[in-house]
Amino acid sequence: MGEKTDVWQGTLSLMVLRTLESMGSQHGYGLARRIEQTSGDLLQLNYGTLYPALLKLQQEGFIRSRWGLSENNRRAKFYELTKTGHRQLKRAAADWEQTTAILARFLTPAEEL
Amino acid sequence: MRQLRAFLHRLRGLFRSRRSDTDFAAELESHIALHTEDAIRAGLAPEEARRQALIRLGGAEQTRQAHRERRTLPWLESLVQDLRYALRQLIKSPGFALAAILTLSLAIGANTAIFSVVNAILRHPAGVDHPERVAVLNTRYTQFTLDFPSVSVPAYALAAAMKDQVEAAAIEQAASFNIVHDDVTEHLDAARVSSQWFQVYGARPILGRVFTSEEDQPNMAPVVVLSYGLWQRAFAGRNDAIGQTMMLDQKPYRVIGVMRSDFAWPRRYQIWTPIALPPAAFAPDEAFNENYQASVRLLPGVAVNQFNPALSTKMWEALRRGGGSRYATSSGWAVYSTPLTEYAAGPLRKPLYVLFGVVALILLIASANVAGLFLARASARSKEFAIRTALGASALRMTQQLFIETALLAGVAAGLGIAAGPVLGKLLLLLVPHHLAEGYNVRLEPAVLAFTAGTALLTLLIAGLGPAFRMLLERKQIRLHEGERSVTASAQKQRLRSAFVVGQVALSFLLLSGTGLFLASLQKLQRVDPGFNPNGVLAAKVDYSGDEFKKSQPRQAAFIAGAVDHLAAQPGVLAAAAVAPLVFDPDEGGSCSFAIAGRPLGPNDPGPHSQLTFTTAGYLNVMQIPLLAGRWITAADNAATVPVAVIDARLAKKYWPNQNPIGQHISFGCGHKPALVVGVVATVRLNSLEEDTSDGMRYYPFAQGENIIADLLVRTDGDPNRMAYALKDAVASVDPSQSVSSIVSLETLVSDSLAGRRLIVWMLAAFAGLALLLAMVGIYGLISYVTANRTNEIGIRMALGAHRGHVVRLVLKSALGWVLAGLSAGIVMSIAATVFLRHVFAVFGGGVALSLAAAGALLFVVGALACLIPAHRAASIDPMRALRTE
Repeated sequence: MGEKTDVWQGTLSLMVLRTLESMGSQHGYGLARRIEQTSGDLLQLNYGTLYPALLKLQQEGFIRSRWGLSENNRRAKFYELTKTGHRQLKRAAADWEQTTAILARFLTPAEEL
Repeated sequence: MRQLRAFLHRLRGLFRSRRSDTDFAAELESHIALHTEDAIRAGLAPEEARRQALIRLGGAEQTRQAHRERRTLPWLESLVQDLRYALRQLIKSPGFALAAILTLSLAIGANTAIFSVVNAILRHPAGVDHPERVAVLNTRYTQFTLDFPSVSVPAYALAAAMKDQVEAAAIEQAASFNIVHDDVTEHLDAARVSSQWFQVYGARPILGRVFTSEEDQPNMAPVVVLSYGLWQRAFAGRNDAIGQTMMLDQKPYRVIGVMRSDFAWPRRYQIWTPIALPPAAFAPDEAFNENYQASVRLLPGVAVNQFNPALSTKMWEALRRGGGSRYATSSGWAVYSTPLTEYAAGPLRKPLYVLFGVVALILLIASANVAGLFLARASARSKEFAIRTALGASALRMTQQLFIETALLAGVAAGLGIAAGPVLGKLLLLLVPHHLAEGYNVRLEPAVLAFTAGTALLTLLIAGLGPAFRMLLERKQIRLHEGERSVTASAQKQRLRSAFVVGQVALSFLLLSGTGLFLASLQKLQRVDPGFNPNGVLAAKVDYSGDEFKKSQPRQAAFIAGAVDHLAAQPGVLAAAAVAPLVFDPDEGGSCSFAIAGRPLGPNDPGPHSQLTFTTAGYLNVMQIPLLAGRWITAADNAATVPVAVIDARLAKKYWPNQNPIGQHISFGCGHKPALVVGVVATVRLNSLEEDTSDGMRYYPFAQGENIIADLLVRTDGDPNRMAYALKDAVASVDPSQSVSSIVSLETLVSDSLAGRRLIVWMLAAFAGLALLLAMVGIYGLISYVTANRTNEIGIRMALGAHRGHVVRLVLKSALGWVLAGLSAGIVMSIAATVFLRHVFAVFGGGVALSLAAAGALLFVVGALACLIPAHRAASIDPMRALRTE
């Protein structure tokens, strides 16, 4: 598996929500780096696509943002989960788990043959 | 929910775009700085670090764009942009905008006006719930060419019993009451109705209740339901009117309900009482006594054309059981129903449909005109479009832009049309004679709004499509240079615009020649001799009041004789008479079968049939009808002398061809004594100058019959309306229990019978004028545009020695070419329309050649006039200046 994978449609939101849950408040750059690290550097994230995704989550009310200072004293915009964001994360994670479980059932016997 | 929230955010984003832009720029900048710092820490040179950060971002500008698209609604943003741009464009050329808006709002306003009237009259009579389910029962006698909207009680009862198709059924008979109010006797138009009347029309009272079926039985305590208007007048709108007693014809009636203000059915009636039919009225021998109006409300889902066959089957079954099928067969008798909307519109139906067609034409002309204006502008803006194309504007985007400009105009025009339409509609109803327009409410309804929106959309499509189509065609050639050099070939590129002008001319011609044709037919109809002289005659209607009076022949005879004598003695009165029913009165008229003594009927012969009227000795003098043979009714013919009758020439010719009818005996079926025919008079028209509907007339003396109404007539040598007081005075002084219900001149009645035609002519003339004006503007616009484009060519021609006359001829030639093309198309359409309309209108199509010639000449003159200014301008071109601008 030499190539890095692009982010699948719709999964970026879930990754953002999950990362924000584990890290707490975080700015866009930090989020992007963290997502790449979590994927074991298997994901190739185009940072530019992160911001519209953040804006969409914000418009949907799952996250909110405010300006703050980064660890090395630079002004940056920080994002954090809202209450509905937490709920949405739980729901989306459950959905996703179910989807992968179903797919796994399809894929496993094929390998056994 | 989530989507809605996001949508609202994005909508808000539209209005705070600048602030959000700077905010995101700052965020992006901080992102790049953070990333750069990381990269420097990892050992990259500062410039390389920043370059890497930008690469990983995928470009700062692209990111900003993606963010903006997510932040707002891009399509809406471009729409708002286009709208702003369109507004600026229109403000920049106010003349164009004003011309286009005025043209469109006139057309849309006219359409809205006509449609609001059509909606009120043809589609939704006021106060009736779901009018499409209400049907009116009619009777037809094919053999007598009779067809009228009334039925007999047995026929009504059969229809009412069809419970599988009929939800409710009711029967009605007109009545009238006198009410004494502040010592003045007032006449009330009333309807005696069966208990389901209000249910049939879906009308609920605003106060109290309507009749129960128990109250609709003979010998019950009399009750009334009031109209809103009467309630306001008689009880000042007080709630305690319910339960009070009203004296009608000196008899007490208890008020039990008040109807809503918009319900007045039958029209203009002010009061309803139960009809309380006795069982005898339902007897089979009443089957052909059509003295009642009846209507039914069909069950949901039952159509009139499903109901009619079932009704017919039922009627014939009953006839076979109860007898009478022989007469029904021989007379071609049938009972059928028509939708209420068809019945209610009556004589206004045809004119309204014609007008509807006409305003649709006006809309087409106006749209063509605006499309022409847009095309002219598009040519002027071809450089702008070329630049925008060169800068990468897509064809779709530019088409959208053009459509938005048109939509803006159409929107403004539709707004004006909606505001003006119903007002114009009300004015239109004012032009309609009162008795036809009564009971109709023109107002803004959802259907009217939808219609206006539809016409605006249609306009938009017609006016917007042409220019857009042209632009798409032209887009292939980049024409940045053309605006700078004059090009003579432009005329050829105006082909689409020429087509619009030709179309306009053709449609205007159609309207003009139509006006001419209707005018010619109206003039012809106005010259029709009704057989009597209506000028100088005033008529006063007396609806007999009081049961004793209605049933007392001697009292009626005394009243009539007294009133006629009183009138004859007035100064200025040339002759006075009484008659019932009166010719040309739309509410009156009657016909009946009769028998000729000594003439047995064949097996399939329904027997003779004709109109009849009761009258007095003075009638011939008042009406100036010539006596052809024998004698007329005299004052000496009374209840004690031999019953006599006078017939008209048509009846004489029909039943006594080449014989002398005088001395024969005739009688009508209903138990009257045979009357001796004593004279023959000339035939008169019954109710219309358009059609001769008379089957022949029988005249009987008033003193030998019983009636429920009478019309008093006076002929004067001056203005007949001056006699109004004398007529009222005659009634009041001879019998104070009776009162005059309406006064009208015979001239008005005769002229009102052509009201529908006159309405068409007026409206057509107005609309044709409008169309002419629009066509003139269209021709002017096109010719001045083309001429301006040919400045250069004309300059060269003049420099080479062309005279001013040549130049004028050059300009006129192309303009008149369009007019000619339009005329030829118009002539074809006019002839087709004439053929069609001839089937619709009884008297139509005279003077075709004259109308066509006049319309053609008028358009030619207008076309030439429209060219005058451009031609003059072209002829005044200074050749040197024209060439120097090259």
